[in-house]
Amino acid sequence: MKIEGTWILAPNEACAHQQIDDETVVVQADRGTASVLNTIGGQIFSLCDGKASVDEIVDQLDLEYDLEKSEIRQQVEQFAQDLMKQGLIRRLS
Amino acid sequence: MTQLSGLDRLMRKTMKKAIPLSAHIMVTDRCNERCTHCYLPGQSKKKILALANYQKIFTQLRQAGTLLLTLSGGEPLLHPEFFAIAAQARKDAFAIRIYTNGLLINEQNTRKIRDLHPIEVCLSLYAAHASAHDSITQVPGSFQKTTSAAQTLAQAGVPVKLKTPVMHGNFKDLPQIRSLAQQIGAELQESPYLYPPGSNCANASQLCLSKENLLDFFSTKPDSHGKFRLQRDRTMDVNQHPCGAANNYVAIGCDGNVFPCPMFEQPVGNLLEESFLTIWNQAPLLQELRSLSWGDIDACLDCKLYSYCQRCVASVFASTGGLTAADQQACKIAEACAQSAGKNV
Ligand SMILES: C[S@@+](CC[C@H](N)C(=O)[O-])C[C@H]1O[C@@H](n2cnc3c(N)ncnc32)[C@H](O)[C@@H]1O
Ligand code: SF4
Ligand code: SF4
Repeated sequence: MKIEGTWILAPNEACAHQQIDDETVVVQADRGTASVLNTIGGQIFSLCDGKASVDEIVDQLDLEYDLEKSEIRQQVEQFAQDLMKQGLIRRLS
Repeated sequence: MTQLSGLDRLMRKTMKKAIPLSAHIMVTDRCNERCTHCYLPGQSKKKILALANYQKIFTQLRQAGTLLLTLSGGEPLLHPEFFAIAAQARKDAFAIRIYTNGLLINEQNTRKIRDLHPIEVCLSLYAAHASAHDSITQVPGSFQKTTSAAQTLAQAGVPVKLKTPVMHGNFKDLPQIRSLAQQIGAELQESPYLYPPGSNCANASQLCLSKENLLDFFSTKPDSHGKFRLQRDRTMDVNQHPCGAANNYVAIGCDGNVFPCPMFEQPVGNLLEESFLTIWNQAPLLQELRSLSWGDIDACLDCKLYSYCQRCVASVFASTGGLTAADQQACKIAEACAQSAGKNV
């Protein structure tokens, strides 16, 4: 599944999350599982806030990281795909 | 990304760094049962916090690092704003767990509960027959209501756990309680450890299982040891904190009082007067608990029962007024558990 730049992503309804130091823990009540995301993973997860589009998430990270924008986009898409597959985030619109 | 395994590490990390990962919120001390074993001191005329108070408290808990809120009581569903408080907790991205006796659960609020996506709803079941259960809760009809609440919730897809403190009065019912839980499709948590009961109970020692019953308990169903089984054959780490209270666990009373844990009846501050982090970081009792490790508990050093032990510092405090004694009830239970596992201790 290709993630489009216009998509707006949000945490799944059954998810709970908290940042602890440099990690983000996400609990999925419906599956009885918990995942621990690293710094960048946690940052992408928290930018999937039901407001920002994928393009806006890429723009935001572009300001922070000294990487080619295309590389950032690729990482965001890859990670968002991963999070969707695991049921941690969903597409709002 | 790691699944679940990361959580063990997170537990250790939050213990080490004193991050209150889990908070137990007693939203009301009112109750519609009068259980003979209940550790709570009984109902009071305390003014209970409202949704507006919780909105502020939840913001502070999030900042402090809390992930899990256990909504309990008394009977939490008696709080007039219970569902609004629970919804606020979910909106603030907490994982929630509900402890209830189930008397007020019906089809309509089952849907509300399901839509809150709790990680589990724990209902207290004391027997497999109405007369025995109702004689513990002292409320006729409570068995019928609790079991039907468990069924309704389970059928709606809510993860249900039945909690059974195993006591003198319900010990013989255990095999039937186990099959009832299975029929309902609920997990069953059985524990013979009783916290020091509050004012409803005349004589605590009458409730606890005898040595003989404990041996029977541990030998009849080895896979039901729950917590005890998980802890087998661990070696004592003298630098480890003896329990989560004040380390990664905290309790909040219905009037905003903060406690080290729900069983530890010693308020350390009030959230209407001070911020959570001020109390969490500065309360002397919390600091004292945080400074304790197994190595400080002389009575427990070199104890061969350690692997089976569920020492509770709240019980130790209630019976000795200090923090560093052995826990006599934990010793008795650990001894029976070890013996039934064939350990020569
Ligand atoms: C205090 S109640 C509050 C929630 C709700 N009213 C209920 O009964 O489930 C939470 C749990 O603590 C258990 N409990 C109460 N007193 C206890 C004691 N002295 N020792 C062990 N567990 C106890 C209850 O049986 C219940 O499962
Ligand atoms: S165990 Fe729960 S239901 Fe029973 S008296 Fe205590 S608070 Fe009430
Ligand atoms: S069994 Fe008793 S002495 Fe041994 S560790 Fe537990 S509380 Fe301490």
